[in-house]
Amino acid sequence: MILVTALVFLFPFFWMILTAFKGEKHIYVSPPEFLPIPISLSNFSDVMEVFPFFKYLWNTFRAAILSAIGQTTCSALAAYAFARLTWKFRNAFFIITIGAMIIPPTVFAIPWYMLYWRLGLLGTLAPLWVPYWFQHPYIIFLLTQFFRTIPESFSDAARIDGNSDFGIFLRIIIPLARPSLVAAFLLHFIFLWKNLMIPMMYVNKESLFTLSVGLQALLGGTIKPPFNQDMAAALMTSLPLVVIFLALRRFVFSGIAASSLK
Amino acid sequence: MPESLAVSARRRKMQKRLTVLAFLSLWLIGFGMLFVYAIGQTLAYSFTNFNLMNRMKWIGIANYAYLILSDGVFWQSLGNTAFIIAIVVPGILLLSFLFALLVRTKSALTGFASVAYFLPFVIPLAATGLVWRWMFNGQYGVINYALGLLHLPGPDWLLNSVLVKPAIAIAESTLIGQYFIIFVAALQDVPHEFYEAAEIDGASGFRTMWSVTLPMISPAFYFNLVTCFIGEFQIFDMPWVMTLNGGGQTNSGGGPGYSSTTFSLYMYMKMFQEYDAGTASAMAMISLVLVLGISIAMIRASTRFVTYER
Repeated sequence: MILVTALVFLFPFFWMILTAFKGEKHIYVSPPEFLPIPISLSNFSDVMEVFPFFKYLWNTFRAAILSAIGQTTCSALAAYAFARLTWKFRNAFFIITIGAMIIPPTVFAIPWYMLYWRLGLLGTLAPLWVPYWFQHPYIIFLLTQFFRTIPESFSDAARIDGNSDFGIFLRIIIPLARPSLVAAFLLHFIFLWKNLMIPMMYVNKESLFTLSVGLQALLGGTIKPPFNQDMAAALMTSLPLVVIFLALRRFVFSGIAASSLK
Repeated sequence: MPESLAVSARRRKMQKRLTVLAFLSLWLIGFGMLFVYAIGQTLAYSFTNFNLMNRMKWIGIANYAYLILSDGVFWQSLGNTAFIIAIVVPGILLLSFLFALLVRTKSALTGFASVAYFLPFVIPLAATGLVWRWMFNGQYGVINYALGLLHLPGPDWLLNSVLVKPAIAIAESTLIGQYFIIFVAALQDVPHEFYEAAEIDGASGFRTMWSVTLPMISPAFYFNLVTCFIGEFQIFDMPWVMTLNGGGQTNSGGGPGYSSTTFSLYMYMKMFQEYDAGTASAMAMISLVLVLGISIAMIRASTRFVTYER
């Protein structure tokens, strides 16, 4: 049972890999051929003529890394205020912060589009990462949950040693919360890499396409490439994330698991 | 002496406030951009005929009236979204819960299976959508091949206005990753003694599930239900990639016709293809009210069914 369901869930990914290595003669056949015999590598070079993988990879990577850095910084700071400081309206503002998670991105799409246009940012990658230096309520929520689990006595000891809140944040919380920060960083990195709608709205130049936008653009061109080339492009888009996930899945799982502690 | 004490106390209080503000500063800017600026501005646009070019004119509730009274596609897109939610939300919750139960007893396979169940979460939806598009291909798709083996007809799923929605819903239902992990974590948190007690009392497996497991994980269940609903209400990527230019149109998804145009897709087309920012803003406000209203109703109802530890 467990094996069968696991294989069913892996099948689309397997099918992507198998198709990516098949020659065109071997995909438009019925019944389908399962194994790619002979193996055809030319799909990858062929599709790169309409899908400049390395250019899109560089755009995606830049946006994802810049926003993940900013996101983790902004959220860790805010989470410290929610988890370790006492102030008026703290609980009310925390509930509003959680509530902000459910605002559909379509709600801020139009004003932000106008804002980017006025600031001359529409022809740049900035709309994909700059906003995340200031907001991503989900990650704030996640880190607040983590920070609350660090015993208060650690901060008290550091305070007696003459540390300010910033000292405690940097010397106590950050080192102790490192796994959760890695989790937050990774979850945001994956989120940004995968995202399709936001770059479709704000990136209107082909030279700034992310991998996901480039992939859907294959369907919009004058000649749609055959499916083996589509699958080669899809595989190249997915593989970096799959590898990162397999290497660091412990952090990804623990990050998601923590987000349900309510 | 007491005066300077009071001064230093006031100064300490001031300093504390500044510390809180400093930690919150980035998020406060974001909060302002998100709530005050974005929602306020979208609300304002929704009462105008703004289309990115003309001089904006206040037209009252005309956008809302148009959408609700005379735009059939608006209602169709709401219906399509509701259809997909009705399949995908129960589907995802059921699958992720069953799989979490499957991996509860540790074995050589559970690590592998957890990765397999989770994997669709880390594959960009543009790629996943393309694979499903290929698998649902009418002539050469592997799904119709499997149906053929069972002597069932193999339709042109994505070109058929009745079948395109179920096809999208099936593909979307495999995105169980985060819900699965939350169920796994919730099941781990059920204290072992509860199961032992149930066993001593001679409770059947079904009884233990009903009286111990389900109440204990009900907060996770509700959390997953609400987040899944919110996520699927905004479904965009999968229908877009599975249907884009499917019937030989140019640069349009959600077909054939409008049969798989979801709410988010329709709003995207209104804004970024028709440049009708006024109407798109009205749609955005409607979606905000719907998501907020239904989420709050679900959370309200949860106090009746959910067992919180206190």
